[in-house]
Amino acid sequence: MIQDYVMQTGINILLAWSVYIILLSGSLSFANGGFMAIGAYVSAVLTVKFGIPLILAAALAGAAAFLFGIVVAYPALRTRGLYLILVTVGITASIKVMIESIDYVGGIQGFTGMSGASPWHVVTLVLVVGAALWLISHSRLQRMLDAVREDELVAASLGINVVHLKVACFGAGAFIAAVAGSFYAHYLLFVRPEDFGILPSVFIVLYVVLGGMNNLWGPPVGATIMTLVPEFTRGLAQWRPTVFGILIVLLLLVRPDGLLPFRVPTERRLRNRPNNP
Amino acid sequence: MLTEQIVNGIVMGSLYALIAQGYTLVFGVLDKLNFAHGEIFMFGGYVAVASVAMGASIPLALLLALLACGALGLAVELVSFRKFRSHDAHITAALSSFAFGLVLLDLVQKAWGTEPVAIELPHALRIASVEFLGVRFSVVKLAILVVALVLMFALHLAIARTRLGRSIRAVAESATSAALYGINVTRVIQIVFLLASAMAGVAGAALAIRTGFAANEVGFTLGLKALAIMAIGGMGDLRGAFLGGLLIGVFEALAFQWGFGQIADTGVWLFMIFVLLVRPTGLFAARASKEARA
Amino acid sequence: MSALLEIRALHKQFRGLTALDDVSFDVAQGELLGLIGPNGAGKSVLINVVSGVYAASAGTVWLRGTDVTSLPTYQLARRGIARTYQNIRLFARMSVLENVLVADQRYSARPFRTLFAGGRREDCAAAEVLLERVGLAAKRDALAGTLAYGEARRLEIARALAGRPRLLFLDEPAAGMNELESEELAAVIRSFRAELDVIVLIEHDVALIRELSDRLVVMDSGKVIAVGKPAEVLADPRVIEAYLGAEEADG
Repeated sequence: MIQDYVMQTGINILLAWSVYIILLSGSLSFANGGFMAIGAYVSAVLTVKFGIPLILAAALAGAAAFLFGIVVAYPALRTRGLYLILVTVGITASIKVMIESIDYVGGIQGFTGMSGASPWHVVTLVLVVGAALWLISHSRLQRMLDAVREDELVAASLGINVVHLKVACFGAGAFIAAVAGSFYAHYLLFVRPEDFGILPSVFIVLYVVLGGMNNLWGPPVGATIMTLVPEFTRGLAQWRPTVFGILIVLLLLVRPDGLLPFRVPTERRLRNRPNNP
Repeated sequence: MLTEQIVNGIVMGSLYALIAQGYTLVFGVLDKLNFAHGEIFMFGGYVAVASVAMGASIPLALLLALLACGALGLAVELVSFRKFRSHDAHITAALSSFAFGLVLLDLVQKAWGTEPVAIELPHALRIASVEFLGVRFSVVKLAILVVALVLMFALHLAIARTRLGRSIRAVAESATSAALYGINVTRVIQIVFLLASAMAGVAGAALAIRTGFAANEVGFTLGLKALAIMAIGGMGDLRGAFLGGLLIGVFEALAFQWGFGQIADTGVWLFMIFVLLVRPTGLFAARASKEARA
Repeated sequence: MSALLEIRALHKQFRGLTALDDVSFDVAQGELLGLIGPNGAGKSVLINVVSGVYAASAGTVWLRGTDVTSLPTYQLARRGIARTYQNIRLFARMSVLENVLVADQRYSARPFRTLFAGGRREDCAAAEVLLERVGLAAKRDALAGTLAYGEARRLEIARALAGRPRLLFLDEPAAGMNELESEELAAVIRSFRAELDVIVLIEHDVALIRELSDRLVVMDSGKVIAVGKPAEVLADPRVIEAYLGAEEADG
């Protein structure tokens, strides 16, 4: 039981971070459910049909999604705002329908035979990704990403290769979503295309928005709360989606910038200087 | 056979168009996506089922769906859009309306279950048909087509000719200057949500009547497809949404006829991505949309 | 010796509207060039084309003898072009110090290799020197969005200079400033002159431009109508007419 909580929470934290990484450069992606599907199916085929060990299969699946992410990012990131949201929704929808039509992986019936994912895999991954993001959050790279997010045009006029950064973030997000998807598939033992539709993509974004998208702690906080709160509202089990939906609506009304809305400066104040307001 | 498929496509396309009009109306005025729209459309079907079960006639059922969904639209506006009107808040509004749709979907499943619910239509009506140019057409389908076209034409006239329409266009152009001219922006936005949702409700009811049952997944399947169609037609472009709906409806019917229906589903999304990348103002647009201009 | 920056027959069209019409002039090494003209004359468009924000419709920009017309913005920045914006564009949610630090091109050229690079204390010290010179040292930890107007203008200049550019384009840096603030600004600009190869200054404040510029280029309706020493150009009847005509049209 506790294992299930750890597994679900860990995977959702990874997925939330996968959206957060893309958001670092200012793009909101609803394609991560699709990237997750690529990871789940590629790794499942590799372990089940080719007998490749899970860890290697997950890495390969991540690499496949990374390449896919980069290839679609070049055209997709020409759009912005709601247009980009629609394009990423379209990517997820297309991936789902394509998998449904591939008989090799069971089509609409789903694919099974995977096993072997343990909570330790996921906990380790959360720690690794978290450490990497923490490192970035205090770096010059974070500063450049913040600049891109604030004003792409000005960032470019300071010598920052905006397209390069945005595409790299998109690829990295796809990678993490796919690795999370790999472990998800090998933990659930059975996946269907409908596990990876638009609904999961929206939920991942909700974790990030509810937690706060301006610092790296927001997404895991959002993911943890959104994963565990429904689990512990057993009394309301029957009304879970309704309670959940109302909770989201209310949270957005009360804290539209998320639970942890602050941004962490990349360069701390020096102790010997007076603080400014 | 082919003619019949094309007619089927046009009927389905007119429903797509009806839903897409709602998305595009809201986008045109607010620059925001209403993700509850698909579920409101879905709810229209259940209103029709319930009305007919309680003895309402078909036209009355359509009217009730129109009213009930219109009211829901006002609720969505109040809960998910009123507070998030600034440009930066478009993600918040999209997610909030999405959550609203989830609640609506869950409540419908609680009330009617997760399986499709059949609608009790008189047998005579179900099989009624007319012959035209040697092809038989179902009366129900033709009636749906007529209702959808009349509604969209009425909307077009209302926007183009009436004072209300002028206010809507003014708010779409710029809410700030519309307010300076004494237009009650909030009222206009409410009316837009009312109109958009009412039309989606009629579309939902019409779909239930055409297929003979109300199903709760249509908000996600057809409702989202209409969103893609809206983008194909050009975001904020009513005429584009109309033409896009018919185009996709006929395209799907033909794809189905020729045996690649599955691919048609992906096709719509890929086509949407293509249009957004290459021609973000929409397939039929002559003028640039707001965001493309900025 | 050929000019450092050569602008040749530059055209820019926006949906049939001609914003730049056959614009040609040179800027020499060490020069501070004033660019003036009535509103809508195309001055900002010219800067936007030269700095890569807009693509030119036709014509060429030569920088040290290299054609840089179609280079993307970030590459132009790496070749030493820096600029400020008519409507101040700071990174509002970043601190004053961060706004300066982010412009350091030693890092933006290879963003992923900077993760483990040291030297942060030195970077901060250098940025603080720059802030000191524009009079913003005390504000280093404030969010850029909270700065007063004149401070924001000066921070933009500091940010532009942090990339150690060779060419600096200032787009109406004194707009909306009072006399005292403009004089401070003039002092700041003068103090940086020796470190830059070229400064191009767009300005409406005639006193400021006369005081600072070596040479003036006057534009009207997308065309260059006069080039020369400030005193001569400002006495040119065509220039006076362009300004007066514009004022009549405005009034």
